[in-house]
Amino acid sequence: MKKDTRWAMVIDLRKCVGCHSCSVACKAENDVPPSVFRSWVKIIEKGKYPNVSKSFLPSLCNNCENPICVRNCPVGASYKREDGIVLVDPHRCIGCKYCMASCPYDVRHINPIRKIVQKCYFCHHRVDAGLLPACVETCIGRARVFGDMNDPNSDVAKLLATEPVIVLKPEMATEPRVFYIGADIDAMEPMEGHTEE
Amino acid sequence: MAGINRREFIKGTAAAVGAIGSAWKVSEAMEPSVVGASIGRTSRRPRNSVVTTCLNCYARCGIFGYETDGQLMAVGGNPGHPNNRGRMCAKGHAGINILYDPDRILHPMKRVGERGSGKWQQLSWEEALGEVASRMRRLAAAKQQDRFVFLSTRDITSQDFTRRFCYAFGSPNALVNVPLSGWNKASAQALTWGAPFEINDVANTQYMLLFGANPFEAHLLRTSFVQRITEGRVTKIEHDKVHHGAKMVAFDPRLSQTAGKSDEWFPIRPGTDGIVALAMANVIMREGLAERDFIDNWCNYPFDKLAAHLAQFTPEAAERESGVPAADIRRIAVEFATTKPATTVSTGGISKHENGVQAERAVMLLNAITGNIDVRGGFCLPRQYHLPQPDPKPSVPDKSSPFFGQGLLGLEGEAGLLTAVERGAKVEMCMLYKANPCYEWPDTARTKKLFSDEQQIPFLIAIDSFMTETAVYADLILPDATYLEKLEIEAPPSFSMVPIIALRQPVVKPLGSVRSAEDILLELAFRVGGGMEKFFPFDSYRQYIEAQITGIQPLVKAGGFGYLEEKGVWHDPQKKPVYRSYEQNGFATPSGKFEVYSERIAKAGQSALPTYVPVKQTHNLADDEFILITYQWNVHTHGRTADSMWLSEIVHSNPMLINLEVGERLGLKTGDRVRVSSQSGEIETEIRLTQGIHPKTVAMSDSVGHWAYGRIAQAKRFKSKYLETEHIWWGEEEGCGTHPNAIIRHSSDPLGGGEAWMDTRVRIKKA
Repeated sequence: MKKDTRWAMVIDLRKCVGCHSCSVACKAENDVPPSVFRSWVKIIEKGKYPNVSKSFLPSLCNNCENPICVRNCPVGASYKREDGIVLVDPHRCIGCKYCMASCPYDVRHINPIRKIVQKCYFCHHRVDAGLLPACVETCIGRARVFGDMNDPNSDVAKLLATEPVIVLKPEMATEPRVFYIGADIDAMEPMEGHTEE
Repeated sequence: MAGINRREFIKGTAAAVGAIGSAWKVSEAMEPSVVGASIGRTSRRPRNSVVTTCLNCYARCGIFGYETDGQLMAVGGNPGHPNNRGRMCAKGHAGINILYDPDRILHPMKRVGERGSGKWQQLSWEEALGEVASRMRRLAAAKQQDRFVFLSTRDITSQDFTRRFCYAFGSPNALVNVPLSGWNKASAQALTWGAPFEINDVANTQYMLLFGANPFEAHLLRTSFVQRITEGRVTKIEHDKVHHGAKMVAFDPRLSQTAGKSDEWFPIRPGTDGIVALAMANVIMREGLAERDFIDNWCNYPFDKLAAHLAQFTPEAAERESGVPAADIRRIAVEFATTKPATTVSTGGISKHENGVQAERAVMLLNAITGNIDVRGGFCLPRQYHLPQPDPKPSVPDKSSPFFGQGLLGLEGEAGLLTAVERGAKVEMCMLYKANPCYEWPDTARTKKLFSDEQQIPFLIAIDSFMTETAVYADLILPDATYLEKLEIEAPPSFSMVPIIALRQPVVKPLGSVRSAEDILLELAFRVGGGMEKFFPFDSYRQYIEAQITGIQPLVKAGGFGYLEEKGVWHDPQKKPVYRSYEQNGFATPSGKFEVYSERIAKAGQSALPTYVPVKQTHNLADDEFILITYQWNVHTHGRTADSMWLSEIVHSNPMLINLEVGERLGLKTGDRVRVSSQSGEIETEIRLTQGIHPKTVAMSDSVGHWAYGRIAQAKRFKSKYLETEHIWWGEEEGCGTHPNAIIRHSSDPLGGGEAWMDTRVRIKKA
């Protein structure tokens, strides 16, 4: 690992087809039980007949640079790795949900079987072994790109340098490490306006 | 380490594990770049991988099964497969759910109670196959082989083998599916240019004109197709040339996910796509935008006469039928003709009608008159191997089977069985393989009556992995291996424009005592005997596959079956993509041309030139009547995936979609329940009001609403060896949906013989 590695994901929504392959790849990879998701796709419908369109918003933990969840964890179970990935130590977590309440993106959940808080960790077990996160590898439209944003030669850094991107809720100053290209501003609230599926 | 490939990764990890007996760590900085590998989440050990071919839908993508200690842990895409190129859809991942569904049938079972009572007794394969064979021998002795019917309508892989089994026995009644797409589309295409479907070269196109197609959610070879659509849609620099993002225009009564992401959506009245396409063709011919070269040299009808025929289809006439404004029809026609290359994309939305063949032919015509046939970025012929039947081949028994559909090409029909039996055709034994007519066919009440009636079908055998809605009526169930446990060969059409051959092989040992359907049929052939066995001189299904590929010399040279076992997929490296392939041998039609004029259709009493025939059922609707259409989800494959927990958690219900304004006028709101009635029956369903549907159309998806198929498909919460099944939440909160087939009437296009799914007239009442 390079010293200043900062893992990040760019999701190019011009290429997202709303297929849920990411949602299910994550379930399989991370053994996520029913009733909770670490990665999901919100689909909204907008406009008035016949001028109607759809927007997709794939969501996951932003692995923020300034994670409020880490600050608010009373037992130090939530922590940020050197490379920026935010983790929850399963042996320390007491399931108090403070972190869930403080996350502006609603990406954390209680595992109904293990009763601890979990979330997306950018598949750190795969990344450490040189593999891409499961959702990135499977993405049908190649909408998801993952890499070290501090490495100017990485695809992620190149996209961030050349394409206009936005993050969710920039006003929270969390500095998310998930960036969106071609996002529809009407769809940017991860849980609201979910009209389908 | 950047640039490490999968092989090195596996070698590296295996060596590291062997040396220090623990997980492999990356010591150097690297970009994650390894694809097609998997490791344990906590152990960090690499998993064994077996290369194979998916079959959780008909796209048949290249995949890896990742296994540890004989347990399948994950499934992933095979980057070496030229079609899906390492990517995989939600259903591919959920294959694991299918394999380990706690309600799978793992042993042969015999009915002991009344038919349909659900009382079963386990028996041995010896007893089960012995019983089937002796019944088949009795049929043969009575010279009643034609009373044996084989339905494998949801299988496209072993159809030649099931057909061989039937023919060898002496029965013509192998009712199998037409490769890949609906019969009406397949018929229209075969009649017009000699191939049953097209490959749209969307990655290289500049314009996609969609008629009744929803590739983001369901399409021929969807995962491979849709990734090329996204490529074609984005502006990029390729070989020092700018590829401008292609425009996408969708005609669809419902705002599908594809229509919702198109540049323009035109809500069109169901069944009228044909006249819109013809009006566009008329505009293109009249405005002098047609490509004369292709019409003059490769179509079988003169330019001027074609223009004269099309003149009757004015944009105004098309507007009256379809509701699409004439000005838009003109504008899109000009755009389509002047943007090169361009392609139409059409599927069931237009061909699953009584006028489906004519509609599909009208849409094909647009590609022909604009010179987009088999060009880069256009509407291309499929590149595909047709694997030969090994000798000795059984001869085809008398083809005048009463069970075949009525289509021009004599395609074997499925629901044709329904009418045939009702008219008095006799069935003694019916064998189902991956077929579930009680769920899959229209007119559910009629279909259930047929399969539950011991007078009409005295002996029913189901070769299946699950207790389907039809298997519940079976007298004998022979448990089939899932696609993750069996050996099969595949030759799907290729998007790299060079044909491929792929292998499906077991990634884990079959569960319980299940066997592959092919092995079951092979053994049955020997047990039945009577000369049947001489058409099966194979010790195993593997030998049969090996015999199929012996004729393909470059593959044999590369290592033949062994190559496929190791790599999963093969293509001839000497072959390069060649467009305008018809220039070599012409089209596979009687005239060798693109048959704008079809003599064969004329003989059947319809217009030989593409025309518009209004759909009788739905052409004139009363104020309170609607057209019911069905659609597919991106996470389901027809009625075959609802037992996947991960998929059903995402889509488990199917509220009927009603136009918002219409719904409010009827005093309805989202979440209400309504009774929907047609001439076939009545159902009760939840509704959802939406801006995204034509006002005279209502839509319901299939795939859900099971009343059998295991507890997960019915959204029940239950205790099993998997903790997850106790956390199935959606059944109690939202139910498991309503199957619309009960109110869909059985009818078909007389030309294609394919089911007209989208021509149901319904009335709605608040429940």
